[in-house]
Amino acid sequence: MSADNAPERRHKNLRLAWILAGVALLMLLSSIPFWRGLLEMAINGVQ
Amino acid sequence: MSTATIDLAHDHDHEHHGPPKGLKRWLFSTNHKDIGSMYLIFALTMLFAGGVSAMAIRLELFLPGLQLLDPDLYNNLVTNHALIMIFGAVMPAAAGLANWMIPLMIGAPDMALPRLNNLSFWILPAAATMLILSFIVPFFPGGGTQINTGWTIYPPLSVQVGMSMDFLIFALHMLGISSVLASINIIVTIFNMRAPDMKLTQMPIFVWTWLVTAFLLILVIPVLAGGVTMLLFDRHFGTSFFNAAGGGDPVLFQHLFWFFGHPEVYILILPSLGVLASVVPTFSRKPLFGYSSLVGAMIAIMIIGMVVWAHHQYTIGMSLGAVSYFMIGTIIISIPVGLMIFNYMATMWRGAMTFETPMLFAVGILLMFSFGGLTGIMLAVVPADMQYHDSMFVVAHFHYVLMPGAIFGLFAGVFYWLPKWTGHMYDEKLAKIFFWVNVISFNVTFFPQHFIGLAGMPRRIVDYHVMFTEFNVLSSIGAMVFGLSHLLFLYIIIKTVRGGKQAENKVWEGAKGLEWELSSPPPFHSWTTPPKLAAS
Amino acid sequence: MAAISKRLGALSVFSLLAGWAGGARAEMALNFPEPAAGVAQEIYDIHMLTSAIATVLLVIILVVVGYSLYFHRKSRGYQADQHFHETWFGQWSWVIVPVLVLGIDLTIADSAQKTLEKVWEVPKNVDLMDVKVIGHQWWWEYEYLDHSVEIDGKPKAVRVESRYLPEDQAGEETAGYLRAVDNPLVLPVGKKVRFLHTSADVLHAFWVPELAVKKDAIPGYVTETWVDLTREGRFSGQCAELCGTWHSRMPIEVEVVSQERFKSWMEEQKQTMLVAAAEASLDKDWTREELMEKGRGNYNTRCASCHQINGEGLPPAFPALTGSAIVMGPLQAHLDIVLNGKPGTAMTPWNTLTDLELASIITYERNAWKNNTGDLVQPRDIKAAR
Repeated sequence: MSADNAPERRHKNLRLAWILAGVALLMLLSSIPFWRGLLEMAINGVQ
Repeated sequence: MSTATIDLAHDHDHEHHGPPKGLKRWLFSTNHKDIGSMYLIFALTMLFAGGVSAMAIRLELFLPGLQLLDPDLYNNLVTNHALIMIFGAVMPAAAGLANWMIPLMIGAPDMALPRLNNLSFWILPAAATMLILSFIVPFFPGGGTQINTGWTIYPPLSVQVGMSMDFLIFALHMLGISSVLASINIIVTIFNMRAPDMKLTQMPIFVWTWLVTAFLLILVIPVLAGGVTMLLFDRHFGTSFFNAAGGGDPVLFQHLFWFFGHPEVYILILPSLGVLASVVPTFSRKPLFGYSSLVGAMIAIMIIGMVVWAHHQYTIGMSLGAVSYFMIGTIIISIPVGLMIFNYMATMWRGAMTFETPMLFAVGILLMFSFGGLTGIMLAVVPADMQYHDSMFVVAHFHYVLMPGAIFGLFAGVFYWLPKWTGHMYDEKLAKIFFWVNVISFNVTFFPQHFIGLAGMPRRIVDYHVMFTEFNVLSSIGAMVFGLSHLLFLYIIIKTVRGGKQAENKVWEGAKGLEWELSSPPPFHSWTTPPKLAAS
Repeated sequence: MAAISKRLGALSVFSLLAGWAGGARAEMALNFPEPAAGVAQEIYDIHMLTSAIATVLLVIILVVVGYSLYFHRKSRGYQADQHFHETWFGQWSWVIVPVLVLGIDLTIADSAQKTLEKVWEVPKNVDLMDVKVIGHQWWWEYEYLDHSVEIDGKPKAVRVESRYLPEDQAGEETAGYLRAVDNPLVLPVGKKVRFLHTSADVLHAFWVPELAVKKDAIPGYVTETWVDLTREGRFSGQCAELCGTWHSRMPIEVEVVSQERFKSWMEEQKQTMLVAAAEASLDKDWTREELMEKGRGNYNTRCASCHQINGEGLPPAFPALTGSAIVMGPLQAHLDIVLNGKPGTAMTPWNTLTDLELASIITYERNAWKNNTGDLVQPRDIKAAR
């Protein structure tokens, strides 16, 4: 536990971690409609 | 929690400076070195599990005919071999190296989020249990059919499989969560925890490769999670995302899978190529050649690697424009990959080389990974791929990419840092024997597979036409030696952990980097005060 | 271009080894088989070109690394050049190397694109013979869309069912172990053929190395490939996309014959179809012996690959029929599962079979082995159940 960070750094770390988690969530949610649209394009060619 | 209690805990630990005793040390560990060791031990266990399934596959393929395995058991082993090796062996081993080395290399006292670190490791054994259950359940009455889909779990076949597919989907979810959490931790550590005067451009290349890998993981693992969730819904809740009869699209799953699957290849090989950036300069006694171009190349790999996934599916009937795009994009990847390989070759050039085991593996990677890359360019060519696709040629290709590219890099890293971790030198003579047996039997196993693939043997078949016999016999013999050679690796590791010549702080004559300024083994808490970088 | 790539290809590791081993053992194949179609020849040429380029690059890497490994070692007393990265080459290699690699890439991509345009899309405005290739678990169905016979006033395309023949049934004439089929796909030489691929259940892929084209059969999709057949012969291939238990037992055999032989073969097929149709439409009561006799044949070709000749299946994937609750139980449930299949399993709907075929199969299943229900199912029962 001696690796506990100073509160300032701890907040900074957590903030970045949540931002990255948000990115991951965004990828998860976008995976469905976005890739489906791209797939249509790949099959039918760009219209 | 008040500030006072934190300080108290702080003081308490400072009194002892040692790890807690017993099971608690491991179960509740927040120490990057302990968690790193656990990752590595887990990966080694899984390496053997994956290896045993590979040897069962090769035994069945030793001769034409069905001798050992039912077709579905064979297909299940093919599936497990891939999943265990990728998610169980290579990714955790690379994460283990990251946990051990990134804080030491950048002068951080620990990972940024130590409790999260504990969580991301301990999800793994649970996920592995799920994966093993998916294999065991069909042996019980009412357990349904075995997973006969391969690791790509393409529907509609994966919808036919029994409940073991659900175990597999949950295993994938947990493995994904573990990887994403570990990646978040690594990125935060690299951005926020570096020694105060270390700029991003002064970090060792190994840290850079993990930064890129972690970003790739965060971007692509959720897409896999989305894909398998849709599969789960198709199986149980009456949706038809992938069911053509219900207005869905079976090809959509392939796109989602390979949008994850192709970057996954770079996730597997980049940390290992990062190890080379430490190993090659050390044993060439010469500075790393082309630091900035290495960083640029890996960022290019990350970006281009995310937009060429459909070269795994040239045969699904895309338009001419689409396949042309994916072909040219794939061929273009050879530029950054070639630049990375070139930089390592240039680092060796005019060096004063010695060939300790890590360096032997590094040279092996440069030659064999290059060969795998070259067959990769051949595969990128769409018209030729119409023949190669789903043949044993592909199997040979990706084993030449992933064995040297990922696993040999991990071996190099383990031998390179093992004296630092344990404080003991490993047995150089045994390690060299291991290298030669390993490399030679690897080539005996996989080189012949190029030819049987070209001659027309598809992959993932349990039985084959007699015209492919000779090379399959050769390949199986090689595979047995290759598989068993890893017992020697295990023996060397155990021997080193238990004792051996005391390692110096700077284990290797030509080594550079912060990790070599610590004692061997390093204290339980290292870099509690950030180091100052040397003026150079 | 083809000539150059052949010369280059002759240098490559693959063909060197092929030549060496080819002398030793003629049967052992090391490279693509000799193409039997124009598009296959194009693909063969681009393969030889890229493998030649890959081999040359590999040799260059081996020579450079080998030189360095031999000369630049400490044991030879070589002093490391600490300023190598400061030379002009060290300063500019990050430009030089990518440009060189880009040059090689463009060479490959240029030839590849040209070949791709020749082989990828089906040529328009030419006379093509259409063959629909339908993948099933685990057999192939071929429909000659340009050839049909009139049955019940409706045109029906000539179709061929092609199944794996177990070793003991495969004769001398066949392609041998795992490659023998009961009915090959017969095609006329010199003709341009368009294959339309689709699947009735899971993914499959049609692959005959001599014809080179490979395409996935995807349920709900129709994908296409084409070949211009250049020589006669029997060519073997097999399913190339993992499709479940018996993926390894989905052989493909293509027999390319002269135009005349193709014509006479096609006539035979039409006659057989007409005879079978006439027989099936007879409104008569079939005897137990007749139905059992027909049923054994139909069951053994169509059902036995999963449920096995002895009716014991391969549980849990393929349930046993001997003593099965459905087979021994009420007829209605039995008819239903055969006609409509069981979603989510390998049991597909068999409603494309004729009433007579289904009646014989169901009668056989209910009376063969230890199943002694004594039930007799007539074609009109099937008609009523459809």
